[in-house]
Amino acid sequence: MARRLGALAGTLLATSFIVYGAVYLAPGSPLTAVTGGRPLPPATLHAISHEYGFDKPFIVRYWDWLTGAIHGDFGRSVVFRQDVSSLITPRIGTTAFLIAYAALLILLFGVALGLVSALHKGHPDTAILTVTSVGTAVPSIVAAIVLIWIFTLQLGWLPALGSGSGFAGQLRHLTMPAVALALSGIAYVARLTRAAANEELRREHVATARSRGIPERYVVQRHVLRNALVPITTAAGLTIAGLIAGTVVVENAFALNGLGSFLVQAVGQKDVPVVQAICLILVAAFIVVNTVVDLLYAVIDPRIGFGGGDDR
Amino acid sequence: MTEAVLAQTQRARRRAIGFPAARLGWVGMASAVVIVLLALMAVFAPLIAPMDPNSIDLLHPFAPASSQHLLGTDDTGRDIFSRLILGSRTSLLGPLLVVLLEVLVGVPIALAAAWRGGLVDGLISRVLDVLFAFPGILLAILVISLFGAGLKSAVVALAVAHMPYLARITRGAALRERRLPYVEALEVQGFSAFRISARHLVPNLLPLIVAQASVSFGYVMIDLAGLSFLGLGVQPPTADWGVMISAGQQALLGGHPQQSLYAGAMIVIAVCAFTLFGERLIDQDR
Repeated sequence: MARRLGALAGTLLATSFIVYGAVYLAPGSPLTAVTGGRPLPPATLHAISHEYGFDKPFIVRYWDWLTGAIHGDFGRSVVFRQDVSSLITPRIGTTAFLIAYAALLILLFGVALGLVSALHKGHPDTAILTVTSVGTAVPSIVAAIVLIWIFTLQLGWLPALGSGSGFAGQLRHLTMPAVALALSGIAYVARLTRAAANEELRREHVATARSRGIPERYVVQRHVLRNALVPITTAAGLTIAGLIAGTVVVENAFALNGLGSFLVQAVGQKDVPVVQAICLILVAAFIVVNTVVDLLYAVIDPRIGFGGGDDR
Repeated sequence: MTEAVLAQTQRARRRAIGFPAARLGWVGMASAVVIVLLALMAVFAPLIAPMDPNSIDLLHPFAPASSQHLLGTDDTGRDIFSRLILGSRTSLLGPLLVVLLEVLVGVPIALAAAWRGGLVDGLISRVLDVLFAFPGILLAILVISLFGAGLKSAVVALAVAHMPYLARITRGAALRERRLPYVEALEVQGFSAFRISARHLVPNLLPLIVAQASVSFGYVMIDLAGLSFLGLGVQPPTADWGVMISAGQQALLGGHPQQSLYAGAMIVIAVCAFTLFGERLIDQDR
């Protein structure tokens, strides 16, 4: 446990260093990177230089930035001349809502489709296998385009753009984005669930349980699903972690007011402090989710200890 | 002992030689055919395309499909069919460059880690772990925000982000291969590590590397299309499938979904072909 958390802290430190240090790899001085090369009066340049501490050594600046970030202070936006945190905070909700919604869809439909596929051989299995094989190859932008075409233009059921207000409004506005974001994940988790369940179904303990006349429902619940849970958790966990970066594309496709669309806007405006802050938040969330998934194994499968090294 | 080693070496050889004629099943073969067709399309694009993909005809925007415009025209009257064909060039070249970079950097790193073990292995594995912590598209956006939008930045960033997968899998396979007696036999005969790796390990690992590269190609294509969609990858007016989806989005909301849907379909077909081909290769390598 301690080793896992140590690794977590180490990875977070290393990635934060990359996010911050990348600015210094860019051509030109870090000052131009921050101002985006806009012509500014010398007094302003001097003030910015002092504000970002370019007169201090790199490692000191990094440390100041990191300790600030831990306390929720990401410096000031070059474009908006506002605290980055005050710009980001209202947008976190939309992104978090979108990720949670998509994660729920993946867990529900991915596992359900996979189980149906494994337990109903023949046509249902073939149909689900075909659809999910193609489904994993559908990028979220393509899913977004098709969904907008069908549900907004043809049927007129759902709004194509905007985040909506209130819980019901958000639910309505974020349904298509969440489906677009979750689609390939649902297909992937369904395929892995099917494979894992099939593997368990072939095992002797399932045959034994069936031969003893245990009702099929209990065989599936206690013998198949329980044992298949470890690979399913791995697949679902990694997929859900992957959603975090996927929001960047989906939020732009549906013009949502979240972190991802703000990130792309900030890249366009060369607003480096905002880019750094959002990258750090998204990467940190990605790492934390991955670690949580790792820790979940031990809860699901008591045979797996913490921190055991394997060489694969 | 010697006989066993010989048999092992021959088995390993046969595995490597048998690869081109591998039994892929009909899905694998169909994927391979689609990949070849896409490659031919990209190479001969200017010959196949019936019209100039960039010639604007403002009098005929959103023209329906006809004998002149097989798939109709876009918002500025450009021929969608020709743009799709020309678009295969950047759409396939980008992922190809990324995958080549991945292999050129990832495989030597993996072999070094597997061969030297100890400190070298530990160091390489830690670096890969940190890179693993970066979602590919996020690293690409970070790099692009500093070096400017374009295919070049996107390719380098995605290669860095996707390389750890290939390296980690190759390292695992190389570790298993290294424990086989034929490697020890070659070492005893005094062959250098480089020679054994280049002449024996890499050929034996090749099916796995090709399979992983093919799967990676699919994922990279999705990421690159996403970046181009965001305006951070390939830049308009270059014909590119990701760019076409993005350019067609306004038209889509105006009731003309053709451009976006066709470009999206091309991406799905290509990604499907590459991932299914890779997966079938991995399955039959086992």
